[in-house]
Amino acid sequence: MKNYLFLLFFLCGVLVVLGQSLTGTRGLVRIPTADMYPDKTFSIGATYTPSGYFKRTHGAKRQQIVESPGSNTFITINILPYLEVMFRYTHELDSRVNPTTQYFPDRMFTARFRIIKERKYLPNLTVGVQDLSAAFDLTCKGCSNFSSFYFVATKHFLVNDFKLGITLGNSSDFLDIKAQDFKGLFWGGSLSHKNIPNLEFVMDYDTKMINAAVRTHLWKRLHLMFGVMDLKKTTAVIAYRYTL
Amino acid sequence: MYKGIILFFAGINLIFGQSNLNKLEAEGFENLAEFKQESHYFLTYENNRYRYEGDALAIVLALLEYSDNLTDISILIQNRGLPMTKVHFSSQSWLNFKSGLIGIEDWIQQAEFSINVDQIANLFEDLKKTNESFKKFDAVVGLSLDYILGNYDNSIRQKINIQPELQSVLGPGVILSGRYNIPTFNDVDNEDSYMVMSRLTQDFRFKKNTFLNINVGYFTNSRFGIYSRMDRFLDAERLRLRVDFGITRMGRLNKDFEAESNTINKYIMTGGFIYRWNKYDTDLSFRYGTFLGTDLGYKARMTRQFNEVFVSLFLNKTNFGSMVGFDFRVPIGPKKHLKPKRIRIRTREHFDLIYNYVSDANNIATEFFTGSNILNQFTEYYPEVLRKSLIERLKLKRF
Repeated sequence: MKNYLFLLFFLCGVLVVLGQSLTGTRGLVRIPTADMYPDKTFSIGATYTPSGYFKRTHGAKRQQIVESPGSNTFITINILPYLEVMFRYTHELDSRVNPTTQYFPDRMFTARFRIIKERKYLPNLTVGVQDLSAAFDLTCKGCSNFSSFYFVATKHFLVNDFKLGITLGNSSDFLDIKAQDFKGLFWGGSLSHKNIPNLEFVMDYDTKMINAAVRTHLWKRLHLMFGVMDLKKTTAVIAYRYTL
Repeated sequence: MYKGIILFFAGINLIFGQSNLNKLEAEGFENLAEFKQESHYFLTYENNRYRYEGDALAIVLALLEYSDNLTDISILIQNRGLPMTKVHFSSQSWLNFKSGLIGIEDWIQQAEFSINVDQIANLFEDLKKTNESFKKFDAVVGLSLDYILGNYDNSIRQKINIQPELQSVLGPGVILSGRYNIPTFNDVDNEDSYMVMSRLTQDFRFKKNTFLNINVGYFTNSRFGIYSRMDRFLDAERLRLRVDFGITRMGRLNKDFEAESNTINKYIMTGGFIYRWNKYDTDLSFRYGTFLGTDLGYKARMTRQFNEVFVSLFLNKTNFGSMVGFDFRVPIGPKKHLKPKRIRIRTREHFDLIYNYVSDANNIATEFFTGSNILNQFTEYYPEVLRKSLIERLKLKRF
């Protein structure tokens, strides 16, 4: 069995694990990390948020957790080596778009800028703005559902044959726009073994709950993550990623 | 006098390089000419066979043959019969690369790529070109997508437009083209098929990297009139100034090719600059002025070029409101077209998609499309883009 697994990973032919979070940007399970994909990386994908964890984006129950499951569909591009931009739609899976529901998937734009690149004693340090078009008078002040402004640092360590990544960040309000996705301190980590580098275990605290997942990157293109939100309900990410 | 001497030498040495012209013509390259000046070999070509200029240059280099007594090779790349970019390298460095003594990066470092071509273009001016690209017809088939999102009754409205186009380069820089639009799967509007664009365009290249493009005819958005654009490159491709001026009125050719128009002229007058960040093949541009809706404001744009893929983020802000969005340009169709003949059928080379993320109002900084010109195709010919694409292609021996 062990040999079979090694053969599988060998055939996948990937040397590094690079992760997409449930948000759509580079990250752990839900939280962003300070890591960046290589320059010119393009990702397109979808995520699954289980029922009981999805926040409604429209109508009377807007901003409230509802029983419907949700999904994010996203396009992410590293337009510069230190600048990642993402555009995403957030879907409530049980809702239909029609005049009665007045529901339409929520749109969101995110930009992440790496300020410091990781060195021997320095972590990657990245600043991110998420769903903040209202702060620049581009949408109405109350329209944002996932606004967030954060600084996050990530440092990697080699411990024997294991690669460990530690992430710590803080999200806050930005100008007069309230942080709605994350607010406060968030943290997490990733762990992989040098012999199976395309399999990684990740765990994070997203300012509300602890989440955990395993993820892999297959055939240099396909990114998969399966995990549990709040260590209770299943969540997943699938993304197709390649270098332009 | 100087030119006369060169032509004399060129005449003597035409026999020497004839095989290069034959091979390049057989491969479908056009506007070919060559000559030798002492130990310096000069070649010019135009590519209308390969979708990407980087691929074309790699092929030309792979096909190139020359005798041992040559020390220098200069290649002038043309578009629509106008000079675009020159490549100069020593024959020894190319031999060293081919024999594996140096890597492609080393060869690229030794070679000179430049858009400053006034001098070398003069040398070719009076030479007769082999396999001219003029008065040939391309029948181009393309697709475009219009869509509207966000209506509750039909959340994704779309219109797929099939757009056959006929175009011909009549002479250096002159193109006559017509594009017909056939809407299908249309739940956006009730538009009939019609002639979406028919125009005559002239590109000029003056000395000191100054370009002018003038268009007359029917353009997209049902505009009829004249539109011009002038670009002046400063510091080679790194910085260019741009001025646009157009006078148009509503006008179009309907499905029966009858003209429909009104008499209200509208003006577009803008000026701005484009800064080229060569390290990342990125254009940062800014234009200020009045746009089609008579609104006054600016357009700011960042465009990253990934070989043939372009990704842009933009902000348009005028007295009508603000608009933020992004657009993509991706290559479609085969990388290599049929050889250009009197009439050739080929696919359109790109598919464009614009997404307006947020917009206060309709018609913010609206413009129309006047068709392709050498200025909006120039980035493929940029020295840094050619360098990088050669590194990719010659490293992989993709020729």
